[in-house]
Amino acid sequence: MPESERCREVRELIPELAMGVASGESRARGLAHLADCVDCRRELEEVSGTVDALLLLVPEREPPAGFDVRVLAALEQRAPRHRIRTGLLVAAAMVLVATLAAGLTWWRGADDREVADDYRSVLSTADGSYLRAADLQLDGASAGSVFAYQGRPSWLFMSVEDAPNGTYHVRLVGTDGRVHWIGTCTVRDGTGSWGTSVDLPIRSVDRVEMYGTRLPTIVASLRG
Amino acid sequence: MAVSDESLLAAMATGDQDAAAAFVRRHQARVYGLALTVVQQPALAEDVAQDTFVKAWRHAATYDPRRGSASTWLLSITRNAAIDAIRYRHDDPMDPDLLVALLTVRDEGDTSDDTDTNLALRQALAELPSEMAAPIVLMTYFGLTAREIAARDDVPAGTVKTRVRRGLQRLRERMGVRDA
Ligand SMILES: [Zn+2]
Repeated sequence: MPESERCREVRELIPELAMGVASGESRARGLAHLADCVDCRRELEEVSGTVDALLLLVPEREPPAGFDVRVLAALEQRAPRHRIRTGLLVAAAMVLVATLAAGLTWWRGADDREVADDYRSVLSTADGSYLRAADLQLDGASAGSVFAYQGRPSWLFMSVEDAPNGTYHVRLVGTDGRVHWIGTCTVRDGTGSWGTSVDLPIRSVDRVEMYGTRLPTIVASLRG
Repeated sequence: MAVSDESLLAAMATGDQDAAAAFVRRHQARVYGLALTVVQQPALAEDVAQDTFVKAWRHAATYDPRRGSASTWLLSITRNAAIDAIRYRHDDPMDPDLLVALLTVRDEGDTSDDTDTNLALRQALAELPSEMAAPIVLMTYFGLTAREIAARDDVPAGTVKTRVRRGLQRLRERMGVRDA
């Protein structure tokens, strides 16, 4: 698909992405493109800014008396979380983003909702440079997405959306042509997801390939 | 003279209860106001508002001032908590046209200074046709997807997406020329 056409498709999704209401599947598709496209990321930032401004229009209301006392009593029982180093935060958030990409629906719970906001910070923190996303291709059609994060550790996550059922062996082919078998991904009801940390620098991965007995080959190119 | 939100949040990240007290008192009306608007029930709104401050306390270290003001950060936490609450209870959202009316008229009880951006945005929202404003508020405040709004209003989902996108574009343009 030409880039402009894909941009048009993703722009349609951006309001829902900015408001954190996109379904898991469209979010995965959107993220795969946003990781690579600076223009669409800027659009997401701008729309998010408008949404943030809208929330500020709501009239203020004083809560019932004693509210602050009750809140402070609740806080005493929960210690704040320690500051996480940016790299770890990005990695952690990306793992969560990957979980979302697997098709979890957004109303599952508060943690999931927090992630919806987090991917914005992830994309802006990593500025897309440490994050690669690519389509899994099966006979020229999309069969899901691969996300690769360059960090310590680097990791890779795949979300298969439309492929024959079975167990696929997953391998990385380096830019030097060397092959690294990294594990297996099981597809049921046409979908599956799997992730792992990888020792190879993401930059030196040429492509991800999935093979199985009596199963078609699925490939995602990470080059470029 | 007043301590900035950034400093309060930084102190909260180290477990400073006094900073938390100041932060809660400063923001409670805004947070409770949004919670009440979304869930429409005082007792539930209070739970949501409390939940919001607990989250802000626990995640104070992740607040990044480069990404937006503390109010914006706090309100997006409030919004998500409130939406989770109504989703969980399967409550119907408020009539979107009523909410638009509520947002576009400045509240008399609100004594805080309205910024130029707020004024421009209120006016822009008031001038937006209802077919654009309604889905925007349903999505922004109640977390409905384009598909859900489409089913509710009996229009194609693509139409809803286009209206939301164009509507947001108009709002953005008007916010950009707020000094005119
Ligand atoms: Zn694009």
